[in-house]
Amino acid sequence: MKAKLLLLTLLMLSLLGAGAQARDTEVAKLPGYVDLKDIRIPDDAEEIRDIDLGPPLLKMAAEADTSRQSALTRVLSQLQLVRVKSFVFRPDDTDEVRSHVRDIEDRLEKNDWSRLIRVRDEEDSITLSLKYDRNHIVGLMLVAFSPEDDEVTFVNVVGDLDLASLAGLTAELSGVDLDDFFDELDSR
Amino acid sequence: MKRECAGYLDLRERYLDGELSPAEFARLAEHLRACSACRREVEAEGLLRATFRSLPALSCPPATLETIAATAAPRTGHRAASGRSPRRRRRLWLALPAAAALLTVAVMLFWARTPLPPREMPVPSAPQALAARQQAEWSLALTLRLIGEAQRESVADVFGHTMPRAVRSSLRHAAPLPEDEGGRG
Repeated sequence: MKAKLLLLTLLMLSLLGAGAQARDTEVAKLPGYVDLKDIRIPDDAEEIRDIDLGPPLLKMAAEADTSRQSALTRVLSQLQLVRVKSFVFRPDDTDEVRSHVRDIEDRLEKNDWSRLIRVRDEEDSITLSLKYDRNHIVGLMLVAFSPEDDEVTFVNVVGDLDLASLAGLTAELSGVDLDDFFDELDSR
Repeated sequence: MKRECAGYLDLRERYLDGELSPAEFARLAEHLRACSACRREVEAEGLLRATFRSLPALSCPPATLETIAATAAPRTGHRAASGRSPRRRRRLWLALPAAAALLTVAVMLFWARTPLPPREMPVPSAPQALAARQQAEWSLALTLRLIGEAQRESVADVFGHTMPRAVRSSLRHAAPLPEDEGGRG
């Protein structure tokens, strides 16, 4: 009898768990999603920026602008995920970080991402890749790797992306001072 | 779950209920920035709550209620008179989880067949929404800055060594190259 009760309870819990998990992994199934979970941030890394904005947080971010007029709001309302992993690493960790960069590049190539820009300066590189679904851009992946400055940045943006709208953001965000933003975050 | 994360469970619950003070939110936000596991759980919980809230309220037809009441009344009377045997008690304990399991299955099936409603979160407080917006703004600003840098460098690669000096100077004035700015921002 106890075994049956236990079995039923486990069944209930697994069903509820599966439901929650299914919702959680919805974004992960989108074609523009790139899994950055395997990128380990070294323990002694500095200036770590680990931002993970899923659909609920992006909706909140879009709704924070009550006028709904800004270009940023229009872009945010079309996005499903904004993921940033950026850090300064110790020279000892360069090989590990390089292997993460190569792994991402391999995955993008296997999954038919289009490489829009690739700039190489000795070992430093910046690569911008886009994922298309029919004629729409549904994902953006940016990898900036600088062994010279011991710095790496991974950005994955998932959603209905329009390059013209993104470019239109440049003027609106040109006043964003990233250093001030970091200082404010660090002071909290 | 890490011991440190367990200390934020109460804050997480109250965040999802929209009950955090700005100071508490700042404390939780700092933890969520550093802990992707907690962040994903909070997002999933928020989504789950919003989804359940969006389900339509079910009403039971009055005729069904009357039938249940009519069926239950004599049995209740019988039980009161004779007491509950151990066997009946066991059946009841078996029936409860079974009913709960059936209800869960029904909810899950209903949920799976229902198109996703517009995603909703508990009404965020102004600081919560602003923090999310600030992070999004920063992320996109960083992305655009890196794209701009890559574009400038690619232009420099192609034309940098072949353009007349006057043109290079003019271009550098209009769109400074990274070395002119003293490196990446």
